[in-house]
Amino acid sequence: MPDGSSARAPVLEVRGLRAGYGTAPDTIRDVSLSIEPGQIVGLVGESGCGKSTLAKVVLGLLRPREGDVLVDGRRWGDRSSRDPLRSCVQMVFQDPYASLNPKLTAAETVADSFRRWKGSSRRDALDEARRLLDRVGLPRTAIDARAERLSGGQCQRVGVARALACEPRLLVADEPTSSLDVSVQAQILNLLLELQEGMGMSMLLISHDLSVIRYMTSEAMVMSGGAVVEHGSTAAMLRQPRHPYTRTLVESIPGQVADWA
Amino acid sequence: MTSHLMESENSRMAQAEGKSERGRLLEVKDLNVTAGPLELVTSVDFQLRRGERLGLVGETGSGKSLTCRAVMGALERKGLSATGSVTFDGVDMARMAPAAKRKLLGREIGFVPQSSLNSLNPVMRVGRQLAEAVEHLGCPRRDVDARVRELLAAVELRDVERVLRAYPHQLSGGMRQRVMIALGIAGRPQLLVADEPTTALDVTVQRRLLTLLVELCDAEGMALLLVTHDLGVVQEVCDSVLVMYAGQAMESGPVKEVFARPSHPYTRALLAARPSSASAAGAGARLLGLPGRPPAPGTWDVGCRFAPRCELRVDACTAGSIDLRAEDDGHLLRCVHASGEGRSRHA
Repeated sequence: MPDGSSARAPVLEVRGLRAGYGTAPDTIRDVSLSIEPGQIVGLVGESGCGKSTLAKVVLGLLRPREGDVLVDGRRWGDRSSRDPLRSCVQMVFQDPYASLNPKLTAAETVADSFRRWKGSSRRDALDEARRLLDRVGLPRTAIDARAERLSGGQCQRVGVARALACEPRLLVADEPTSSLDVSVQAQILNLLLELQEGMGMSMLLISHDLSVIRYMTSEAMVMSGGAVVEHGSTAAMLRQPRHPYTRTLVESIPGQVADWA
Repeated sequence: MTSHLMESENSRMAQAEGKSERGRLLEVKDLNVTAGPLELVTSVDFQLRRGERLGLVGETGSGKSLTCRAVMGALERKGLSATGSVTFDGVDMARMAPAAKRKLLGREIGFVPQSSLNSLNPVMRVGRQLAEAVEHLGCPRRDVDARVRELLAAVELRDVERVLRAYPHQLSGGMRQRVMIALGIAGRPQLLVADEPTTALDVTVQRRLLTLLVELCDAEGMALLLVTHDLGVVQEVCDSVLVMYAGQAMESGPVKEVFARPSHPYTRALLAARPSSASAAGAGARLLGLPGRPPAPGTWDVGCRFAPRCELRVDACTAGSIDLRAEDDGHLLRCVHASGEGRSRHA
């Protein structure tokens, strides 16, 4: 586990959050959470429960109606792309194919981030991008391949590298492995764990797969109908789910193959 | 809910055994799929009894979907060709006239594709699409509406009026997939082919859809050919399993047997890569990801195609072709090692 020193300010602090959209102003309500440096917090819930809305608020894409969202102790400003917080929170998307420009190479995709966030020159950006892609385990041969030629797992590594390019404080990973093969899922999950351990990266990991949450996190929260219905130690929650929705989730983990070995 | 599935499995297994003397519903022999000179699926054999549920598993690109499409005779349009024999209900499908085959598809063999958003017409209301399919299957016009409603009830879609009037994008992924299942069973098929029907859905939604599929199979005595990359799904839904890798069958057999004694290193690696297996190994254990990726068609080596990624590789693996050999009780294995060897490494 990371040092979890309580002296340092949490990377993300959300207090009494209410947020939503024109026709559904209460999509989420009374949500509070905090993520310490180097901590991965799991967020579970079914489609429509407000997970993605919470992610949008954390990313500064949606303004809260009530409550506070502090990233590294600072409040989101004017929601413009020039907001300095913009580089502090980055996102890894669910669909690795749809979230990359198919006509750009992996290196170009990540280089764009470097040029934008660090003002690197075109050539420096490409060099930095190649180094970073190597670090996230993209094979050398794939670095200069167009995204349309990459496998799902490779695309997801590019997505992770793109997010890391601006040295964020927090990664929001929205179902980062739900469209990947189980063998590739293991690789991407291990990559995220290495980022946590090696760089002290904090993450908000959104998933509906409790076996992923159990593997990746020690603290998790369950949302249902826009509210947090359970929040605490992942192990305890899985052992003794208190909320009916959490119980349904625990029962839905397909094929507990613990006994095959 | 798990116990419910298990119960229904037990009762249905008994049924399937009772029906076995009535012969096989589907028999696939020596199926090869090629794209020009490129081999994509090599000599796949399997069979399905009436009411039996078979899971095809493997990583992306292992040939699962192609195998399904070959069963339905739906490869030609993609410029692929299949050899080998597919016998459905005693009739060799290769010898069927195109018109007879078209009649079979949708009626005797139903299909549920993976991506409902790509399979439904985005600019036609769901009700119209269902009605069109039902009409095409020969339902008299005055009964169409009733039959459509019956189908929506069968897939447990509530709020029928809204669904009928909706365009596909206005429905949730789970609802759309229910519509796809309704289309798949519209012709009361004896065999339902489902290609990753629940991938990318919420686990709770997935659970409900799987329960629904199992119930529909039981109620209609339908056999199921299920493509999935989720071994957990196979374990809960299927009677038997066929593990594919690089276009070949690596291991197959009854689900109980294969999951109790996974023998191929590839099967074991797939099981070990599941997040739940790390938790079973204790806190802090790292998942054993399967390094690398399946070899592309055309780059398959002589001998075991999994050898480059296999922990147990020895010289014999790449010395020559390896045949599927029978373990006990219908369990087939394509590996030079004896079934249990080296199991502890992945366990």
